Amino acid sequence: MKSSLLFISICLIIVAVTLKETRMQRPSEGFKDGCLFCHKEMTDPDPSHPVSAFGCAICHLGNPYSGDLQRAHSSMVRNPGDLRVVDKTCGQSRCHPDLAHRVKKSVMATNKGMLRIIQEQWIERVNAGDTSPCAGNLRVSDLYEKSAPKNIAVDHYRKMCGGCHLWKPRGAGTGEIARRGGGCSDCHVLDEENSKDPDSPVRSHPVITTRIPSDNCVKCHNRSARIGLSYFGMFESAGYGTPYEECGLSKRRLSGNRFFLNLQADVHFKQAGMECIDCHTATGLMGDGKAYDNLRDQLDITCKDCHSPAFSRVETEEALARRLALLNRQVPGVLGKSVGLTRKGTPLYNLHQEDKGIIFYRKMDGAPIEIKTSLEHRDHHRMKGHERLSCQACHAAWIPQCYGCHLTCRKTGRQRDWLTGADSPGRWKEARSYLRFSRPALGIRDNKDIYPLSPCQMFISLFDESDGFQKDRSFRVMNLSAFDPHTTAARSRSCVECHQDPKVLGLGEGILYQKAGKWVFRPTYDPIASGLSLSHPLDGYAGLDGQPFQTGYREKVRPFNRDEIDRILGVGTCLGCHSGYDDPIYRDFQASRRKFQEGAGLPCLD
Amino acid sequence: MSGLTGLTWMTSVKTGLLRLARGTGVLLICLYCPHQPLASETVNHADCLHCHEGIESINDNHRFPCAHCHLPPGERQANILTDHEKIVRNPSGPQQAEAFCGPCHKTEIEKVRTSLHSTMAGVINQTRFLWGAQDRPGPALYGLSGGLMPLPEAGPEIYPQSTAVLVDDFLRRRCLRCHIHTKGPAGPGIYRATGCAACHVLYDDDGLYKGKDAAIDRSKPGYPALHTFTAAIPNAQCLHCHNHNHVGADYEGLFEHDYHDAFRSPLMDGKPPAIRYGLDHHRLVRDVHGEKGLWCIDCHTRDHVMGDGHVYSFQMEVPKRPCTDCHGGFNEKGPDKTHPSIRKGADGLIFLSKNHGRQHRLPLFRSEGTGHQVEAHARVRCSACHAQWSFQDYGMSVMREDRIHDYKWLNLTMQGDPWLQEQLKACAKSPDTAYPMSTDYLSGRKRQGIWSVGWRFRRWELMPLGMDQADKYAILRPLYQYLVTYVDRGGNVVLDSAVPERGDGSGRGWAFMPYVPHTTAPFGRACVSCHMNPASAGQGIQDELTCDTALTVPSPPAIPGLRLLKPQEAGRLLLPPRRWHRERLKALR
Repeated sequence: MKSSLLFISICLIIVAVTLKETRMQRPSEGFKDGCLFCHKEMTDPDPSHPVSAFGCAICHLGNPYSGDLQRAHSSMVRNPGDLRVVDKTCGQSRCHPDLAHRVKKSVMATNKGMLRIIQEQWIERVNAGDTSPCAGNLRVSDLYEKSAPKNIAVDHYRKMCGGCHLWKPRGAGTGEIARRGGGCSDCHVLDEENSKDPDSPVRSHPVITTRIPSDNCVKCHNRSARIGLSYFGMFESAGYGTPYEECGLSKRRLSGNRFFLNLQADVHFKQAGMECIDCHTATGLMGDGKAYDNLRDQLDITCKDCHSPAFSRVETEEALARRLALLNRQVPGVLGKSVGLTRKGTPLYNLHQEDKGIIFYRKMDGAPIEIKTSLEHRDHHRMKGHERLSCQACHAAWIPQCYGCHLTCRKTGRQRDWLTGADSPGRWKEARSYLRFSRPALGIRDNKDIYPLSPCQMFISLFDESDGFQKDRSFRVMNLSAFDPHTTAARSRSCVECHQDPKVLGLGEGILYQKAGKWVFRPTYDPIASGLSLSHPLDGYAGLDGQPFQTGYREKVRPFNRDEIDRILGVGTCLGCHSGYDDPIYRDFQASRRKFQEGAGLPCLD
Repeated sequence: MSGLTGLTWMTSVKTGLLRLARGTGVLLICLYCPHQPLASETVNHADCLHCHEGIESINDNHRFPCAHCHLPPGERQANILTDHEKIVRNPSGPQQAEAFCGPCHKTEIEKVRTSLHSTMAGVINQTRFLWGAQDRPGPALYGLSGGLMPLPEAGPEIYPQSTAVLVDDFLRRRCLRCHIHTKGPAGPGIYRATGCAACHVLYDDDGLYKGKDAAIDRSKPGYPALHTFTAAIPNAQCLHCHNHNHVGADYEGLFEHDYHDAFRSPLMDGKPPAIRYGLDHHRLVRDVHGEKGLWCIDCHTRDHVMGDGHVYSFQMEVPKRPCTDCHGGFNEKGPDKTHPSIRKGADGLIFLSKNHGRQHRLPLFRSEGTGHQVEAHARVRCSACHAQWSFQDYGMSVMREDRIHDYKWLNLTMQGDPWLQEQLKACAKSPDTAYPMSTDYLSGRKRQGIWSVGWRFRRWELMPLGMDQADKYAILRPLYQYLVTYVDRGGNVVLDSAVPERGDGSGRGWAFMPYVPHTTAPFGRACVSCHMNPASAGQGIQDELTCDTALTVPSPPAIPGLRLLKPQEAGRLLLPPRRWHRERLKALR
C-alpha cells in the first residue's frame, strides 16, 4: 500500500515537472545551455573560455536543462574556482585536472609549513593543560573537518592566520578580507570593480586571466614577511598615521587600520615596472605536485634564472612555454625561439634569447626590457670568500623587522575563527616592542647561503577562564627567518656596511670595540630592564663568541658562528686601503693576514 | 530715615550672612576634623601640630615655626587662625617665593628667574621662530620670567590662520607642561611641586606621602614623599620633568614606546608595563655615569641649574662643567683639581658623588686611545663619539582640533600626557562629533581645542653630525620637523599639514639641533659609525630617499652660528684619506 502511494506521488511529481518544463518558452535553435536563455547578455570571462562555446554549466554546474529558476540553480556553484568543487569544474578531466591537483598541494592551499612549525614550536613549550598533541601533517583543508585537532597553536592559526589561503570562500568577510580566497579565482579572477562597466546593458562576467595584477597578490601578502608591501617600497609603520591629511590621519593605509611609510622600492618595480608574476611562474605559484612545507622549496625562480640564464629552444606547438605565451597574449610568440629556464627546468616564456641580446618581456603589457646578464663573471661576484653570499645579502636595501611580538590569549573573550566563521572561546591580541627597516642583519640559511634575516619573536601570555595569568603555561619562541625581502637595489651594500657593523653581524645595535686585542660588544637594548627576561637584546641573534641566541625553525636559519664573525671582522680592518674586489690581498686572505702580522716591509702601517 | 533703616538692614543681613558662613565653615571643619571640640565656636588652625602630628621638620636650616613659612607675614603673629585656606601650601611657589624665601634667598630667587628652567626661553623662542612668529630665535624675546616679554595669551578673538598665530597656543598646551611655574598634569612619575620645591622637595614616582604626618592621606597621590627640603636631589626628581624623549630620560636609559596601543608591551606576569611620564618605555643601555650611580647634580651644578644671573637663549649656550673638568681632554692639563668633588686617592683621583658621598675612581682621558690620537678630534665633542644612542624622533605632525569629527585617536590617546589622554578618551565616547577642551599649562585654564601629536618614525641608532656654538662637531637631533594641522570649530581644515616658515623667511621651520646625548659609553663608538657612514654625514639612511626617509637628512639648526656639516666636511667624513685608514688599522690590528 505504502509503496504504491510513493510510486504514484513520484509519477505525479515527474508529470508536473515535465509539464512545467515543456510549457516554458525556450530558445528555438542552437540550444546548448539553458542558462543563456535568462543570462542572455553575458560577456566572456576571457577568450579561452567563450560562453558561446562552453555555455555556463560546464564551469558553474547547476542544471542547464531546467528552465525553472530553483531547479536550474539548485546545484550551481557561484565560484567554480573554489577548491571544494574544483575537481568537477576547472579541474574536470577535460580541462585542467593536473593544475587543480597541483594547486591543492601547493603551499598557498595547504599552509602546511606554517601549521607544522607553529604546532611543533608551541606545543612543546606549553606545559600540560587542555592542549592536544601536535598534529603532524596538518593542512588547511583538514581544519574544516569536525575531527580537526584542537590545540593552542591551531586555535591561534584559526583566529589570527586562517583568513589567507586558497580554501577561504571568496566573498566571506568584508573589505580586503572578502577579496581573499576562492581557490583558482583568488588569483585568476580580477576584482568585480575592475570588471563591471555600469554603463553597459551587457552583464559582465568576472574576468579570468593569467595576467594577474599584483593587487591580487598583495591583498594577502601584506603581513608577516610583508613582501607584497616591500617590493612596492611600502613599510608598515608604527601606526601614527602621519602626516595628517585634512582633518584625518594619513591616507596611506593598509587593511586592519594599519598605515605605511614609503621607502625605497625594489629596482625591478621602480625601474622596470615589473609585477609579481613577471618573476613568479605558474609552477612556482601553483606548485609542481609535491606538497612542500616551505614556499621557498616550491618556488622555482631565482635571480640567476634571468641574470645568468640557461636557454632551451621551443620546438613544438604543445610545449609548455608556447601554451603559456599563447595564454598571456602580450609576450611575443616563442615557437622556434630560445626561452629561459628556471632552476627546476620550467620555462620562462617571457625571457627570450634574441639577436640583439637577452630580452625580458613584461607579462602585463609585453614591453621588452633588455636584461643585464653574465654578472657572475664580474670581479665583485667572483670574489673569494663571497661564494656563499646570496644576491639578497648584498642587494637587499632593507628588510622589515618586527621586534617582540607579544601575544595574549584570554579565555574570557571570544573571537572569530576564520575557518568556521563563528566565534569560539579564546581571544588573541598582539602587541609589539618596536619596528625597524634598515640595515638587515645577515645569517646562514640551510647551512649554506648567507641571507638577510628578520626576527619573529613571540612572547605568549595565556589567561584562564577566570582571566588569571597562567605563568607556567606562558612561553616564548624566538625565531629567525631568512627570506628575500624584495627590496633589491642595483647598488649593493658597501663592504664596511657588513664587515664592521655589529647589527649586520647579528650582534645587534651597540658598540663593538677592542679591549686588549679582543673584540667586546656593549649592546644598546637592555632586555632585562625592558621586562623581557631575556639574556640578550631583541636584535641580538648571537653573541661575539658565536653562541646563537635565536635561530630559525630546526636551525635551518642561524646567525653567524664565532669563526664566521671573526673572519668577517678580520676583513673589516683591511677594507679602508684594500677596497677593490680585485685587490690581490683577497686572493688568499689568510696568507695576506699572516704576512701583515709578521709585518715586514708592508706599507700598511707606515 | 529711610537711608538709615536701609543701612541697618544691610548691616544686619551682612552680619547674618557672616554668621551663617562661619557656622557652615565650622560645621564643615568639624566634619573634617572630628577630634576638634564640637562646641567650640572657633577652630584654631594655628595649632598645626594638633592635626599634623608627626610631620617632619623641613630641614636643619629651616627650623622655623610652621607659620613662618606657611602663613603670609601679616597672619604669622596671630595666635588664632580660623581659616585653613589662608595657609600657603607651597611657600616656594612662583607667586610666594619672594615673600617667603626671598628675605633669606634673594639672590638665588633672582638668579633662578633668569635661568632657562624659569624662562623656558630656548623652547619658546626657537619654536616661535620656526613657526614664523618672530624674526629671530635669539637673543631671547619671550620668556616666562627674567624680564622677557610674556608669552601672548591665546584669546578666543584670535582666529589662527597661520602657524605664527597658533604657536603660542601650541607652546602653552603641549610644550610648557614642564616648567616650574605650574604643576602640569598629574600622574605616575610626574607628580611634583612648583617653584623652589619643584626641585628641592622630593616627590616619589607614585606621588604618595611616606612620612608620619597624621593628617595626610597616604593613599592619595600628589604629595611629596616627605615634608623635607633638600639639596641632595636624586635623578628621579629631575626626571619628573626631564622625561619623554629628552635629555635626562636617556641618562636612565629610557626611550618612549611608540604611542599606538599596539605598543603597550611586554606583558610581565600577565600585566602590561608600568606607565611612567604618561607612557611606557624601552630600556636601553644607561649612561656609564648613571650605571655607576652618579646623579645629575654631580655634573650639573647650582649655577647651571639655578641660573647665573644671565638670561640665556638656548640650552647649549649655558656654561656648564665640561667632561674635561673631571676627565681631562685634548690639550688639557688634566682634571680641575679645584673641583669640589675631586679628591686624591691612593691610586689616583677619586670622584666624590653627591649620591650619598660614594667614591668612584676617576678615569682620565687617555691620549694614547685611538680616537684621542687624532688631532682633528679635538674639535669633536666627547659625546659625539661616546654617546651610545640618541633621540631621533623624525617627522612631528601636530594637529589642533577645536572639533573632532570621525574619531581617529582611539588607539593613539597615549601621547605622554595623562590629562590629554583623558580628554582624548572622553572624546572617543561621543559617537560623531566632539568639541574637546584642553588645559593651558600657563594659565591653568581649559580652552576649546586639543593638540595631538604623532611621529613618522622614532629611532635611537642614528646619529647625524653637525656643528655646535663652540665650533665643535656634535650629534644632531630633530627639534623638530613640524607639519601643522588646524581644524576649527566649524570643522574647516584651516591648515592642512602646513610646513611652517621660519620667521626670517630663510626657509622651512624644520630644525636639527646639536645636543649632548646623556648615553655616554666608557669608550667611543667605532670609527665607521661616523666615518664612511652617509647617515652621520647628513645624507640620509637610504640611497633613494622618499618623503619619509628624507626626514633623516638634517635641516639647519634654528640658532645662527650652529650649523650642519659643510659639503666638504661631509665629503671628508665619507671618504677619509689613506692616513685615516692606517690609523684605524693600527687600532684594530
